[in-house]
Amino acid sequence: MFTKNDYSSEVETIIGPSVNVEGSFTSQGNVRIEGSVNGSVNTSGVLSVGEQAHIAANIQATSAYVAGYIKGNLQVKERLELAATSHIDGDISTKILIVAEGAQLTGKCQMSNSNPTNNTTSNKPTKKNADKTSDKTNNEE
Amino acid sequence: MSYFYLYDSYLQDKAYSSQLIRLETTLTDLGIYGKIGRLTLLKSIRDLIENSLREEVDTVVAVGNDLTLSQAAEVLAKHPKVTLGFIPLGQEQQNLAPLLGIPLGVVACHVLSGRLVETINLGKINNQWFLQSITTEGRPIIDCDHDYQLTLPQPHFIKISNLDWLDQTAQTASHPQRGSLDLLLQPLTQKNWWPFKQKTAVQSSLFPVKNIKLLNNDAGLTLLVDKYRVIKTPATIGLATEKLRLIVGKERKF
Repeated sequence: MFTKNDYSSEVETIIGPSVNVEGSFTSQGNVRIEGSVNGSVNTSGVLSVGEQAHIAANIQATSAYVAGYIKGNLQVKERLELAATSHIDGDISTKILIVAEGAQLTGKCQMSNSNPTNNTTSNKPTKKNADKTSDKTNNEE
Repeated sequence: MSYFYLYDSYLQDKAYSSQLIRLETTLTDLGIYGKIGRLTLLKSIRDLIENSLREEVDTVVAVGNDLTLSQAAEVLAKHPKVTLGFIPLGQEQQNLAPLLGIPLGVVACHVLSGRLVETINLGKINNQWFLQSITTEGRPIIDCDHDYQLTLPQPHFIKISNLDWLDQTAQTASHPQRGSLDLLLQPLTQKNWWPFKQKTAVQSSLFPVKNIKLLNNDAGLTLLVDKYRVIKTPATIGLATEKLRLIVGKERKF
C-alpha cells in the first residue's frame, strides 16, 4: 500500500468502493477516491478519482487525476488530468489540463497562468494547455 | 537510572525459566538490573507499577508480550516522566516488537541498554487510554472529526490504530507520532482469502482522523481495545493529551 517513508512523511487517504462519505472532507495529503462522496472535498495534495468513484461534491485540490464521475465544480491549482472514462458535470478551473480521448465534460473550463515549459506530458493522447481563459460546454473526444 | 521489571504471569511456566535466568544475567552485565515484579492473579499490573513508582523508579520494563506492554502503557499514561521499555519473551502475541524494532528474546536487553527513547501518542476511548488499536466488525455510522460521516452498506472489519500494523505483509504501520489515528475499513466479504494483495489494498479504505464517534447502527457493537478489553458502542475515540516515553530500536517501522 505504502512504503515506510511515504507513509510517515505523507498521509494518504483511500476511500474504497465499499464506503460512502457524507460531509465536508478535508485532507492534508494525497487522496484516492474509489467509492462515493457527497458534500465537499478539499485536499492540499494530489486527488485521484477512480473509475468506479461517484462524487457529488465541489472539489479543491493541488493536482488531480479523474477517471470516474464527478457532479460538482472542480478547482485544481496545478494539473488536472481527465482519463477516457471520466465524466464531469460541473465547472473546472486549473492551470494545466490534460484530456484523454473519450473524457466527458459538461460545464465551463477556466485556465490561468499556465507555463508550457512545465508540461512534461507531451505524449498523452490529447492535451490542452492554454494561457488564457476558455469556456467549454461539450463532450470532448 | 532506576529500572523496574514487570514479568507477565505466563513467564512463571517452567519453559521460560532458563530464558529468565539468561535475561537477568544479561541485564546485570549491561548494568541495567533492577527490581522485579511478577504478575499473578492477586497482583494487578496497576498495583505493581504504582508501588514501584513510589520507590522513584524512572523506567518500567514490560517483560512479556503485546498485552503486557499495552497494560503497562495504560497505567503509565498518568506518569509522563516515566519511560517504558519492552522485552518480548515467548512467541505468542508478539506483533508490537517488530514494529518497535525490538528483537524477540534476551537480545532485546541490548535495545533497552541503548535507550533510544521516542515520545509517542496514546489513544483514548471514552476516557480510557489505549496503546495499539481498537477493532470491531459491523456497519456502524462513523463520524470523523465532526466534519463528515462514513456509512457502510455492508459489514466491515474496522480497525482504529495508534500503534499497530495496517498491513503486516507489506510492512506498513500506523505512525504514533503523526498526530492522528488511522481508520482502516475492510469489507468482510473480501476478507483474507483474496489472493491478490494489490486488489485487497484497493478494496480497503484508510482515513487519518483525530476524532471518531462510532454510533450504533447494529445493536450492541462490541469494540476490542488493545486486544484485551471490551467496550460497547456508542464510543468516542481520539488522541489523548498524554504521551508515552517508549524505548525503541533503530529498526522501528515509524
